[in-house]
Amino acid sequence: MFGLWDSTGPRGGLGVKFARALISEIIGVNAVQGVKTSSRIDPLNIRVSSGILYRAKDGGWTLDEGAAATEKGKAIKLGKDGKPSEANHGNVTPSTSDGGFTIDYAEQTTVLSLPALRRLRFPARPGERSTPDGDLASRTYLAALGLLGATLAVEAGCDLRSRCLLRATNGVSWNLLGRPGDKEQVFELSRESAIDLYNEALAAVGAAGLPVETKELTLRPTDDLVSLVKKSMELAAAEGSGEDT
Amino acid sequence: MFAIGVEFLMGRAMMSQQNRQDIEWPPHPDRVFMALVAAWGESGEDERGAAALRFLESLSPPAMRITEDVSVRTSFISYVPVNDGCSPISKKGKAETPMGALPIGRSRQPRFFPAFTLADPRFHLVWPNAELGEHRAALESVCEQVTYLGHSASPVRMWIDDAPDITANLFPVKENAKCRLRGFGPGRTDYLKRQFDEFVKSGFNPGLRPRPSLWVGYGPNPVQVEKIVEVEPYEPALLVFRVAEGRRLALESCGLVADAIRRTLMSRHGGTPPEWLSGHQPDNAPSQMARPLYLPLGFVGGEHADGHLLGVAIAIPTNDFSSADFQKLDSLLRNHGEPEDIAATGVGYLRLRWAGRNETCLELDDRPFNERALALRPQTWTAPSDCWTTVTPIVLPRFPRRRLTPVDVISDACVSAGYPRPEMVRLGYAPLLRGVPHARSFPSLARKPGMPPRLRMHAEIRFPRSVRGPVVIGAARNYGFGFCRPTPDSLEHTS
Repeated sequence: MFGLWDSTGPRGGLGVKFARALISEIIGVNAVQGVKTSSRIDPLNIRVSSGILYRAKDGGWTLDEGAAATEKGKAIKLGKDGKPSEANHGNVTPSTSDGGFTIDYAEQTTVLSLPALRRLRFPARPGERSTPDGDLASRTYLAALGLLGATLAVEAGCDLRSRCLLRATNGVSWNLLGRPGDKEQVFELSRESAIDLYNEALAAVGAAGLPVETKELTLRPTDDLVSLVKKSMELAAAEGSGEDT
Repeated sequence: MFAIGVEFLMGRAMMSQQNRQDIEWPPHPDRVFMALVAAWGESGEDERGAAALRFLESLSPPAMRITEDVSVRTSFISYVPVNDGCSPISKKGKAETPMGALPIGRSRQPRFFPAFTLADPRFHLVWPNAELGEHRAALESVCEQVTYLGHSASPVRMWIDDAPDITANLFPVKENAKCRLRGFGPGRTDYLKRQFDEFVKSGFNPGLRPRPSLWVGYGPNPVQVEKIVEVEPYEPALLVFRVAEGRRLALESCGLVADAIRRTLMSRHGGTPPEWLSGHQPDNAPSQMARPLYLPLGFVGGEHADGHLLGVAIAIPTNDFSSADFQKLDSLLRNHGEPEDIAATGVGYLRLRWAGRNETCLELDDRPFNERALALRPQTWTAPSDCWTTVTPIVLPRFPRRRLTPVDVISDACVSAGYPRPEMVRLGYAPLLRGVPHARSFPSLARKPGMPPRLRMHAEIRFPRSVRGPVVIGAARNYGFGFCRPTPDSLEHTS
């Protein structure tokens, strides 16, 4: 539904490739850019000149230079220069910066392209030719899957990110487009109808003798990939602490 | 009359120019045609569809009905995984930043996805004087198979429309073009099919992407011009290349630049280049045929003009130059993937080298005209005018004598070049446009030992009627000499 290109597989650029059939976008109308503020008031009101913090030998921090971890005979300051802020204490001077948008309303548009699905063919087995009935059943199944996915996504709500929660103010309606000038067929699809439609289409695929995976796919990494992930994490950790590996 | 209608179903379009950063609007007719051929190719390549496409390509360039009310979305960089690598460890041995919930990362590169919203999401390609006849059903079927135009996130529906109320507002024109768009002509379907097959066979070599075959000027409804415009020796649709990087050049370098372009193209061609490229006949005699000219686009005329080169225009002769020659030239102008080039393979790009390590890079300028400097707009050099003034001096093809004045020589040179005999010629060594260098500051052209250098002079020429540019006169036209700018009615003087 979303298109793919297996460009990093054994066939390289000749790997399987097909364009997306489902496109969706949410836009904000009459957007006005906002300003955000950043600041912190320390409940303990610790001042920056209150002391120099050192890295403690057993972790954490200490004000006792004698109890601090050392490097080349000198006590190691916490962070860059031992300020209380390195231990998350102290106020942060208020500042403003661009951030956030105010909108009149948001609008979501979703397009499910049936011509894109019509380009796909579904043979029952590798090396065989597909049949018209099999293709029709498969494309119908994908269309039903796309409609189900879009319907459930709307139902799940649009909690896009922190402080960006959108609530739909009207129900979803679909327009089945023919030629311009022809009367468009408008229909609504409830959650239940979308699930029923999906199940019906899935049954038709089975009846057509086509293989379809209905169980959740579990991917197991190879040992090499596991090693690669470990190596990647070690590198990331080393870069984060500034150490060389 | 019939039209092909296109509607952007998302209410916005994602189509970009070759630089992949700027939007493309108006849409190029060839983009629509290529979408049709792709739909035909992915739907079984039936013979009736092929016949319909070949019929469509045989028609003259369509008019267009488009909205000019366009709102461009703010462009920003997105860092996205790319197709040619998936390792979580970079080439420098560092861990790529993890993505989402996955514990491993992948290289991400900056990309633009330019998008724009149209007041009317529909546009039409219109053929007011043609009928589809037996091809209608097949072409309708192909149209219905088209899924997107531009990026795959820009879905469309396409249909055949013959409503009489479709009024075109953009027309193919030979003069006063507001923009040049990629068109399509006979042979395009077969070329695209062939190119696609080669592309797949080569493992998706980007150097085999389809090339434009036809550039068509588009403008408002053509208006009758009162003054008769002379038949031009060169097409007004100039191929404009702008200076992208490298050594800054001045107008005096016009010969050097033209020669460097010619040598670059000949190097790319290899083997035995055609006469229009080498400038020589098969027996090595100098060519007599009209050839493409490499014209210096200098910053002249303005208050702060200093004559430095902003780019180079390639002028295509109207005679002796077939569409096959143009396709060959277009192919040679494309970047061939030299390792040190910054441009992607397949885009118009020239790296000029001379005298050791000096080099200047030119790239094809396909931006909308209103985004370009004046000197990089073709109409600056081609707008019809009866008065023309030199930007590079005319190299007199003959030496003046007692009964052959310099004015006579230049008047004869105008006629030889394909322009009408002037009714007035004003000559001098001093420039007649601000920013243009003195005629004597241009280097002499090499001649056989013992022969004196040809005279180089600036001129203001008034023709008896309006002439459409480019106007290039005299000997050494192939080196950019004798290049003129239209200066209707008023002249700018350096004093």
